[in-house]
Amino acid sequence: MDQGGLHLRLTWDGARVVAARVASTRRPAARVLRGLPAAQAAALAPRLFSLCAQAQGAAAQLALAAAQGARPDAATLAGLARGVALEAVGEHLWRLLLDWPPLLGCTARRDEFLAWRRRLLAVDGDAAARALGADLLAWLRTESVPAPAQAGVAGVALLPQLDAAAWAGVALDEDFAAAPVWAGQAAETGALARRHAEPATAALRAAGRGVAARLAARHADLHCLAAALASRPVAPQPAGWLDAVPLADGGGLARVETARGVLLHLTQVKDGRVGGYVIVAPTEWNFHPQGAFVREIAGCPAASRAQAEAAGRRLALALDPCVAYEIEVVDA
Amino acid sequence: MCLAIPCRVVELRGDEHALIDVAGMRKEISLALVDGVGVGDYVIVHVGYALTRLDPEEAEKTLALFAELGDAALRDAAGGLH
Repeated sequence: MDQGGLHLRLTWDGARVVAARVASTRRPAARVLRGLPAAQAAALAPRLFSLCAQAQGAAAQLALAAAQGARPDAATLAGLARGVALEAVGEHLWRLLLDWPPLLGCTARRDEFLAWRRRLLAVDGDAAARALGADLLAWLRTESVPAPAQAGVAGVALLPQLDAAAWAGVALDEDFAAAPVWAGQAAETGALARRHAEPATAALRAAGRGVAARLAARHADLHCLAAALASRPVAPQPAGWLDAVPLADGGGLARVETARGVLLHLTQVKDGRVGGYVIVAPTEWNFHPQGAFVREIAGCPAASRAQAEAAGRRLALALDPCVAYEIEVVDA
Repeated sequence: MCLAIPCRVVELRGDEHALIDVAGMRKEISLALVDGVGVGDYVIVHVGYALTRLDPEEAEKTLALFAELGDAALRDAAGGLH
């Protein structure tokens, strides 16, 4: 039971990591939705996934509705957007409070995380969301952003922020979902792709410190989410964080932004039943065989095997796969 | 896109830990993120933490669903629980 969803293999020559390979044992879980009545598929989707149930549920609801020529009303969209935003806040806090501290020589801030998590799970309406957003903003002002010294920036493009209509022009199928590309090339999705223009993030990236830039971007993303929750009416505006378009032949495509990056659902509904169903998740972008992880870790200086592994672990966490992963260091 | 496999708690251990069973495989996990979990309850687990507690009826429904994905998929997903 110790094999993970991702196996990250680093080749080390005694001075640096010279190459990396990603092996994935993830399966296209979306297949289970095929053949189901559309309403049942929409109810089931959020139950399939542990970390991003809100985002998966919202994407399924929007894609299936679009495929049937329907569009949820404004209140429903706002509710979906709020759930997606709260889930993203929880994921960011998990990384920042539980996962990063041990990699930076500190202790995980478990009690703080648990307190936030209880509040997130207790949000039952706009008033509670606004109060939480305001408290998060106040807390973020007291937080300093750690900046690991690790050198390297990925030689891949940042995925542009595209709406569902733009994705409709891309042929999304299971092969694409397994190794997605933009303009024929691997690309990075996530907080850095969304917040690369934020000054602290841009400066770190320009200085060749990709891991620190992603941490700064995660803080910036959390700030944006908190500000959106604190605003009245509760943003993020649905069009910014999630949307959907109908496609020809009973198709529907939904796009939802998550903490880890863009999530796409493509479906086809015929006679009320789900025909095709494809999910393109953020992890497959960032851990693409020629993606950000592989390209950035290659060339990373490491004086020992342990340093190579630690560098791999920091970069993997910065890119934030949604499944368990293990790192193996082999000699060149 | 970690699959949300319901895991049955088979034994409570000290220090907020528990032993779970999924598809015949057993693993020790942390209960730090959920309250009031007992033996026989189902939980959703990710990277060694129980994330949520499920009611048994919902858990059985979800397990039946994953069974349609096949045993291999269930084993893969269980393998990702550590």
